[in-house]
Formats: sequence, C-alpha cells, structure tokens
Amino acid sequence: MSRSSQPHRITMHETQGCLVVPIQEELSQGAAQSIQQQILNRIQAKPVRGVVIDLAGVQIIDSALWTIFINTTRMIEVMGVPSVLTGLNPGAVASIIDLQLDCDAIVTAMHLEDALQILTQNLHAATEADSGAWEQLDADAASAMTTSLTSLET
Amino acid sequence: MRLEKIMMRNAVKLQISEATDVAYAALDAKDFARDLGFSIADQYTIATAVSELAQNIVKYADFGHLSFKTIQQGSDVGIEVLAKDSGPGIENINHAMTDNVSTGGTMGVGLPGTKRLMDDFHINSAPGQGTEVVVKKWR
Repeated sequence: MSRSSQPHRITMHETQGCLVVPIQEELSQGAAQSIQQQILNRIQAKPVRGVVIDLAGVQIIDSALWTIFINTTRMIEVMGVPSVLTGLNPGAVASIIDLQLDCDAIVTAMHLEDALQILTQNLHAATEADSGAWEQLDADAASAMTTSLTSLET
Repeated sequence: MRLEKIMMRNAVKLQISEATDVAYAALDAKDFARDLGFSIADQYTIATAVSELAQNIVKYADFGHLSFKTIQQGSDVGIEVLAKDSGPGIENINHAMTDNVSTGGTMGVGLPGTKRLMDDFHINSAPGQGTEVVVKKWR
C-alpha cells in the first residue's frame, strides 16, 4: 500500500500568466493528493493569475477523485487565485451528476483556450464590476419591466 | 504491485489491494462492458461504479476482490459485479447507505452513489464479517 504514496510527478507549465496542470492518466487517490500539494506549493513559490487543471487524460472520475479535485480548487481559491477545471469527458460528467456529487461553485470550461480566457479576463471584470455591472443590472431590470408591462397590456 | 487477473469463461476476477488497482479495475470494467455491447454512457457508468466499490475495498479492507460476469434474463444481457472483502464490515448498513455519511473523509456517496448508477444493488455486511456488494446493470 505504501508504494503508491510516492510523489506523482507531473509537468505543469505556465501560459499567459496562468499555471496549467495537465493530468494525462488515471489517478489513484494518493497521486491526486500529491498533485494537489504540488500545485499549492507551486503557486506559493511564484504567483500566477489563475490555475487550469486539465482532466482530459482522466477517463473515469469517481467520488473520491472528484472530492480531491473540488478541494484542490477550493484550496487554490483560499490562496487568492482563481481556478478552472477543463477536459471533463461526457462519461465522467454523467457519472458525477448521477452520483449527485457537489458541483457548486466550481468553474469549468470545455477547452484550455476557454479556461485561459476566463482567467485572463477576470482581472478586467473585477475592476469594472463596481461601475459597469450595477448599471448593466439596472438597464436589464428596466427593459425586463418594460417587456412584461407591454405583454400585460396586450 | 502486479494485478492478478483470472479469466474464467465470461468472467473476470481481480485482486484489489492497492490504490493503483482501483483505476485498472475501472478500466477493465469499462472494456468488459464495451465487449458486452453496452452504450458508451453505460460503460462509463459501470466503470465509475466499479471504481467506487474498489475504492471502498482499498480504503476500509486493505484487500479484497472484484469480479464481473455476464448475466442473462431471457433476451436481456447485462453485467454483474461482485465486490467482496474480509475487512471490518459495516456496523449500520442503513446509515452507510445515506448520502454524506463517510467514515473515510470523502463526500460519502460511494455506496448510495453506486446504487444510483446501477440497476440492481445488494449488500451484505456485518462487523467482523467483511462486506459483499453485488450490483447489476442491464444493456
């Protein structure tokens, strides 16, 4: 049992200021936990604007593995860095939903490019949020009201 | 650690003792289901259920085995998976079958989750007598 707790080395790389973690094979719990630790150490050593965990190489995701990945994204967020999961295959997604596992508050994207877009635009969104977002909400609410009033009249 | 595999006609038996055995068992199950003609979606479902069962063996019992075999009922074809260990056993099965109950630090959906994934689910367990889970899925 102890053999499988050796550190599972993965190659992480950086692109557009984001750390990309490609998982290329099925993982045991120990391996997933080792990867979790490596990610946290890495973002502490050198700040990044986001982390992408690419699960395209993982075919089967059971509850234990999903728990570790969810916890990993949460730990990364607690360190102040946003994260996105990508590469979930349809079979894995169906199982996760059928198992009724927790999917709240995680950000996913189909492809790496989408994930990077989400993460690199995060900074812009954060600064504009205070001014732009509320005005947009007011405008949306106003037009929604107009639409429903109009339909009541007809 | 080598995974011991015994092919017996339409059955496969796998020894489960290490964390790495879990993934192999799941992938083997997926192949077995594929060979039986299950849809791709079902192949993944069955593989995930096998992963859950194998994970339980590794986590709670240290050692056990998983076997899959073909089952037939009239013209229906399916797969039956048996997960058996001589671990500590489950004290309160009803409690263990409730979601979010885990003595192992996970989300705790292993057993109830497996039941949701498969068509048929039977469990036999008692403290000191190990655990046996039998699940079935029809094509």
